[in-house]
Amino acid sequence: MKRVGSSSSSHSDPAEQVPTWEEVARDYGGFIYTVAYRLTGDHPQAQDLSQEVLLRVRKGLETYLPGSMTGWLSRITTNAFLDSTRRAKRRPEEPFADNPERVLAGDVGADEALERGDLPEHLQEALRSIRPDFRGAVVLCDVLGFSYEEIARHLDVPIGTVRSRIHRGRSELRDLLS
Amino acid sequence: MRGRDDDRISGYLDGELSEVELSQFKNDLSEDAALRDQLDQIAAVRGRLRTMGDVAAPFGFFERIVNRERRHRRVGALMGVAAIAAALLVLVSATPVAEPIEFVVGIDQLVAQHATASADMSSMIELDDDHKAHILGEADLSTMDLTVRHAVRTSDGTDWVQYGRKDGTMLSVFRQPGTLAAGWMPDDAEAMEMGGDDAWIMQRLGRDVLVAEHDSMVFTLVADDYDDLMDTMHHELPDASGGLSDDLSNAAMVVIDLFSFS
Repeated sequence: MKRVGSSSSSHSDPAEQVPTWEEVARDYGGFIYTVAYRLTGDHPQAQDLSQEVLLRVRKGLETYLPGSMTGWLSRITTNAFLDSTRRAKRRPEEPFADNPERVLAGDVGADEALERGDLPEHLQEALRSIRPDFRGAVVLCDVLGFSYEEIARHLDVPIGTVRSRIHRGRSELRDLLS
Repeated sequence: MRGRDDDRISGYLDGELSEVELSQFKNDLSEDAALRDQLDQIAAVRGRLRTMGDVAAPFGFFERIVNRERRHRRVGALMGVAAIAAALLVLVSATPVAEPIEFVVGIDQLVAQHATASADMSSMIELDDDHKAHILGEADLSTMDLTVRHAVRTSDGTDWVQYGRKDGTMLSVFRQPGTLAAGWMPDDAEAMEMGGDDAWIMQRLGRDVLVAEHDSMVFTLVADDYDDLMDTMHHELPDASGGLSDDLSNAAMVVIDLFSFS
């Protein structure tokens, strides 16, 4: 997907006007949904999360400062996701390996999988299986292209925590994909 | 070496190490084959993550959210005005309410009645040379009261009050004595609860319609479609910056918000 962090030239547009709620839903809905899906790994949950994000957008649009819509939406989406995982924390997590549909094809190499065209789903399944706080940091960094400083600001955690979460998330992914 | 949990690996790949860390890490790399392996593995995962593409939402997903939000705003407006309308209708109606009888509300007929009377309102919106819209006549953008256009009792006992809204649209409230016949509900009507009573909303001829039954009276509200009005005017003024004048647009939104229960 289009990376929107500071490493991308599309990060900000000083001429951007504050859009209406409907314009956000119409113009940025696809972006919100992609981020929501990468975080949840599940379409029904991505739909719920997208609706929650739009609700927060409607309430918070007055505080939005033009120039960083995708960054603002990324932060809202990630925080809404982390909030939902905290709320659901009392529910037991489904162990990754107990669900046959979610077991990775461990004997398939990355190159072969890429050629076969099925790597993205396996990667998404693996992403879904790592800890939510690691997942949020990894998505913000690797999928959306935000810097550590931006992620620290989005998640309101120290930069060192960001680096640790990203690395531990990647390490877990490596183990799941190997 | 710090091995698998050495988060300097990710910091290095992301260009997020300080100069001191970077120098030390490069030294460690040159001396530690296991660390180099870890670096390669994490780099591979990182690279694969960065190839993940967009994910499409189900077809029409966001359109449905937007439409639902619009509908809630309209229903909120209709519901708010219903209370005012009911109070005014008491004044309009001088005769006792008839014994309740079951009937099927003639929605299309009421909408047509509303539409015929609303046609005159088009002359109240004028565009100036700057493509700004102005409301002519007695509508006042600076106050929030609705203007009663007319109030009548028709020969079949239906009370009808029509209001002018400051966004240039009209709203009709029909009150008919009786109760709704079983199975009257059109297929496209959406049921909802309004103050403890059942109500149904639907669209007819580009108008929003709400039907509610309360105390052996059937209320049918018909409102010009605010969004259709906006869309039409924007369509007619494709090159005009801003389209509608701020005054008109803001006033319309205030009207919507004022009568919203949300």
